[in-house]
Amino acid sequence: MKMDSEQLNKVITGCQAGRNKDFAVLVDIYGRKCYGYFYRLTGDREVSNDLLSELFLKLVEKIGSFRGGSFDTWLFTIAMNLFRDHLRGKYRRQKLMDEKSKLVAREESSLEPAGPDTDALQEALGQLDPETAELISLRYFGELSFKELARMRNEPIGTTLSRVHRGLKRLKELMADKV
Amino acid sequence: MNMHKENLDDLLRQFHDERTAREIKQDLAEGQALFDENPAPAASPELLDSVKSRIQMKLRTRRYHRSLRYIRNAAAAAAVILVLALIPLFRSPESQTGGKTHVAVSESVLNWDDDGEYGLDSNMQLIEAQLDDISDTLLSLQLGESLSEEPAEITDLEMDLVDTSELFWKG
Repeated sequence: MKMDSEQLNKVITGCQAGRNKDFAVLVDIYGRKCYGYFYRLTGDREVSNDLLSELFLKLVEKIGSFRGGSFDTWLFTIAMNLFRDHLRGKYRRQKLMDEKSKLVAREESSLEPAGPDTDALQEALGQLDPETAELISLRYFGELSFKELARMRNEPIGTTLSRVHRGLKRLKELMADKV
Repeated sequence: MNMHKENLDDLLRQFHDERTAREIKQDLAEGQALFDENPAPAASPELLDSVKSRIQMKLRTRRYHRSLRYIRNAAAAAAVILVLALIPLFRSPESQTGGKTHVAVSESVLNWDDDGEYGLDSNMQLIEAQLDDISDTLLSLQLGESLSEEPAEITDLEMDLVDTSELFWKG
């Protein structure tokens, strides 16, 4: 579902006024992209489902604070923060499990459904450093420009550009190795 | 990938020479193509519907809580206005003209005290004076400073003491 910026602004204004049907439009526009972003970073459908729901509920809370500019950048910044919170939570759970018992940790990690869901690209992304994987996913699913990405990450545009370039090049090599 | 939001050629040429810029552009395009060739699973329509319903529920809850807050604030504001409006009605004419801050309610309490507490005060003063007299007399007797040789006076004093005590306990 595509719409021009004027139409999108109307939808956002409707959301800020608390109109349910405008939120539904936002879900239709961004739901798939955000799901893809979460999925490519987690490799887990269930977690991606949860993160997507959480993202839109957060959107309801925060939409009033959107003050113009690029809505995509704004939305994907929330998505990025949610994913980072998820990672931190996962890390804490893992640490707790390690402390309790190595046996339990092994059992729990074997329950994680990453295995059946993963494809070649997922595996290759998993071999990149997490920041680069995140950046590449943001670039692709958020359709964000290098300028927007650099602003999001508070770094010079040249740094973002070379990081994405290196990451994609490495990704291509990893995929070539798998074939 | 939507590349219309930026001019990649211009951007790359800011950092690299023509040839390197072209190579990087090629690498970026090939890397991005990997995502097109290996699409992530799509969010199911059920998931999107469930997200929409959860949003609807959240909006309803927010509206409900907002209404409750409005009602609570309105009730508090109404109470304050009511109290402020009623205060002048309770002001005594004296305080209104004299600029004193006593209100009529306090005045009526004072009037009620006139009947009760003022009377009690005067009784208390009388009792205290009598007790002082009696204790002085008893002290004098104990010290042998007889006011009178007649035992009847001592009996009278004792009777006074009993009467005063009774009066005291009756209030």
